[in-house]
Amino acid sequence: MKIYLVLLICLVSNRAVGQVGDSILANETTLIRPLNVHKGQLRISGGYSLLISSTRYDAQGNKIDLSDEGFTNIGHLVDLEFNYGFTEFLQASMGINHLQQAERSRGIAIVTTPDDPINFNEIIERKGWSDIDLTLDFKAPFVTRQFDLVFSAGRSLPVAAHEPEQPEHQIENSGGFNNITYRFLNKAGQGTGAWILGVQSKIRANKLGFTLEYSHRNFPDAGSNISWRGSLDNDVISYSSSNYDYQLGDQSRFQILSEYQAWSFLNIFLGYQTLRTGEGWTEITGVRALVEEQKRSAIELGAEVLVTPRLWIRQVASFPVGGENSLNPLILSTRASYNLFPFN
Amino acid sequence: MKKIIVLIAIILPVSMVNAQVQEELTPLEIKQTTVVTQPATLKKGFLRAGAALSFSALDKFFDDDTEKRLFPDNIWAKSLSYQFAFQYGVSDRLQASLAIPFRNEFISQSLLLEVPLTNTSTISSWEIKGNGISDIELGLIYQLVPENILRRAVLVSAFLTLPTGEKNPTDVVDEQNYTLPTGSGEGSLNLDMTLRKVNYPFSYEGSVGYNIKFGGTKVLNVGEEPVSFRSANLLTLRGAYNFHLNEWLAFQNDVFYFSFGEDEVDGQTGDTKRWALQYAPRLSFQIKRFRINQAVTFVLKGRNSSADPGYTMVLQYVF
Repeated sequence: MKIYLVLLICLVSNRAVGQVGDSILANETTLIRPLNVHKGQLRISGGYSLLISSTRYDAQGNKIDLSDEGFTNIGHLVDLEFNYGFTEFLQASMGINHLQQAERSRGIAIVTTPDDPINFNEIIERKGWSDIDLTLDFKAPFVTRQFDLVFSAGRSLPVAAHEPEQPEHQIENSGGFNNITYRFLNKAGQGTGAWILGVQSKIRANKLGFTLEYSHRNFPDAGSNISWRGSLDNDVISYSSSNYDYQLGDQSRFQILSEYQAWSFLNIFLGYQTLRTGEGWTEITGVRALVEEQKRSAIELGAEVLVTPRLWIRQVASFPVGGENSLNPLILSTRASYNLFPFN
Repeated sequence: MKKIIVLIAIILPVSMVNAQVQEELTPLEIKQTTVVTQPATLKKGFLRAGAALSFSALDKFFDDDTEKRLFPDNIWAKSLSYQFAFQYGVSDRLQASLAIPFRNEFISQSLLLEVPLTNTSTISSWEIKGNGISDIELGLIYQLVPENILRRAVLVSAFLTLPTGEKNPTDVVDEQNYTLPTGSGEGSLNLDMTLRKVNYPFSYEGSVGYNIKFGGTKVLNVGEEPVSFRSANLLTLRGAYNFHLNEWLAFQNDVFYFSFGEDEVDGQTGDTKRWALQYAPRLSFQIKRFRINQAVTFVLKGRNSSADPGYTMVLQYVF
């Protein structure tokens, strides 16, 4: 009987604490929500992004239409993130995503003799889970709600597969052509760990807010990977792999975001972000070659809708505006976040 | 004692009348109902006008072994369609509709041609576009079993598609320079039966539909003569589970199964088996009489069918 009584008291008190958590969330619009989650709060976020690349930028920053180069690139990204608040000022975060991307190059037709034309196509597929990012986020203990400052530090764990699978090249004869399709199957893992450092600040005034964010990834170690080569013998393709080393360049991201809380349930925002990947190197060709610095920048436009105090949905369209040595996709993303206080 | 009984006898009917009044919604409230709570068909005299935008890109397909594969060519194709739709409540049980679609098609391809014998190489890049009205659709939906608080609604519908869009390639210069058609070139009739049940905050729907294609003649390959054809008839099964996330936002989950018959070209029937299983999660924002629907359609599995997701946004307003 006493056990039932204790259980009843525990249940009631747990429910009461849960309700306290709900009341905290109920009073938070997107604008005034702190950058960290509250003590005991677990946030689970998941989203889907469609990435469509129709332009690339050369080393001088000139915009090139990919259709002029016979090149296409389309991707689908699913991301998942968990945040948990150990205290009001310290949260742990974990992020992972799944990428599926296909890159097609211009077809090549070689006519050696009129009776024996050959058509080459190449598809480079990148598919799989990314590495896991783990960070600790420290929120400065300011008493004011007008200003937030958060420092982040963490590690990207190279747990995802990064070595490409054996290619699946195909040879078939159709339409009078010998069609050869090179199909490379790459993975989404980086293959080497990275240190993550970041800082984020937010200033709020009435219905307006401004957020500045900077994050940096450093890959201290060189990675090792394999590359595949195929050789044709009597219409049969045999494959062999060889190892090579590479060094990823540091990655940095800067974002500025202005937001307006139109209604208590609707927040609209406009932002600008730039991503830079520093120089690295690769020995994939047998000799060490420089991988040039890459940059890309985009303007973001979006909205967040508070569905319930526990659930919100964020939609963003990211429009490419510049870059160097990189593709810059149009990104359309939808993300939902659900919040709970599981251990209180 | 007699007075008490009389009093109760007076109060009870009044109370019942009040209860019945509380169940009634004003016309304005009905116009503000969500996709979950809205009547199965529009009430008499109500008009719902809307615009829809759909986008998809060509990337993947399910092959004959139901394996998802990437298109091998470097072709880049995208399709943007937008339509204006009007629905009108002829009576409380009969709804008429009109949809006027437009299509914007784009295909680009590039090829490097090398001829070692003459030591020449040429890059050919071409873009083919098409933009214009597509096939208009007229429809009727009737509540065979009218919906009420206790009963499921049974709806029957008929949608007639008229081949109003351009069916043939136009402005043909050669195989790489022409304007894409925006119409199918054939009429069709879609018959559908739907079972619907609202149990606030949930609603459930199940339907079966059959689309009959009438066929026609059109140019299938640029530069060739028109040939007679008839597209495959289509059987559609749909299940939907919808619920409110809050008072003004509903989440819809639609699962579709499509089974295609055989295409006919020049009297010859193909033997390609085609089917697709799709899942379409949707968010429906209801702001007074204004509604925004967003959906992404994922092809879960299929055979000889597209595997690309599609995005749709719909804006609606009830007058």
